[in-house]
Amino acid sequence: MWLLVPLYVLGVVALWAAFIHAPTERQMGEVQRIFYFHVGAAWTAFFAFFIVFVAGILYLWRRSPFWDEFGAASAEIGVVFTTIVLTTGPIWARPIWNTWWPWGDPRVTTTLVLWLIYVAYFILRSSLPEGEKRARFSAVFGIIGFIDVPIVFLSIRWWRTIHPIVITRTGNRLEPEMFQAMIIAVVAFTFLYFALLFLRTGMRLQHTVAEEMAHTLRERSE
Amino acid sequence: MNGYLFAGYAVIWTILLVYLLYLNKKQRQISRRLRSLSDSIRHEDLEE
Repeated sequence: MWLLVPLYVLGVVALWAAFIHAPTERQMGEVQRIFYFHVGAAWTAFFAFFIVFVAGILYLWRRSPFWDEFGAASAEIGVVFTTIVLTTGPIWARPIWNTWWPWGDPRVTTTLVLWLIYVAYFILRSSLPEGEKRARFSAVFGIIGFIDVPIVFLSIRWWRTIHPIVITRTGNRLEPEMFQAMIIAVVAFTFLYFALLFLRTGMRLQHTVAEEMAHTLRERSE
Repeated sequence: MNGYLFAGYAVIWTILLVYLLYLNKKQRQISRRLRSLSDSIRHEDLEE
């Protein structure tokens, strides 16, 4: 509950920055304002999958079930934010590129692959019984799956794409107010990510405790 | 407001709301299960 107040304030400030503080883009018009939350969601998804990668390494090193649950919680939130990216993207693309889904675009395709990788991560988890084997397989899958994140990020530099390169080595190609609105959206979504991670990890650990209690009861009755 | 812009933000809030409702449902299920398991263990301890 203590996270709700700063979360609410950040959400309101991010909306103010996206709709009032940032000027209307000259070529794309009002629809460009999707950009701020689209980028914020993409950054948060990348960060969430990085945490899955780190949690996977920590699990393989420490063999603590906590890191397995922590990684799974982060992967779930990463999938939610990638879903936001994959749905807001086409809504923005339709009036600007005149297509809902540019199949030849490497960033769009690699982002879809990223979403599919982490959906497969949950299919893998649900196909194995709870325990050490499931945690080990998930950790390895989460580590290998992360390879797609730098590919998504660098795809617009490696291949021909219609996605604009906004941030370059020399700076960014945005008006200062637009850049500020983007950073505020990134901070707001990152904060939301941590709140959800805290909540979801707690729930997963409670589920583990319930499974242990059920196991104890079964042993007693035998 | 531009229709596409409205649709974009509506989608963002809808996805987040659906996820929060899912978490809320899941939390209630876990709490109920933990309560019922605690009651069963307490009941067995009393019987012993």
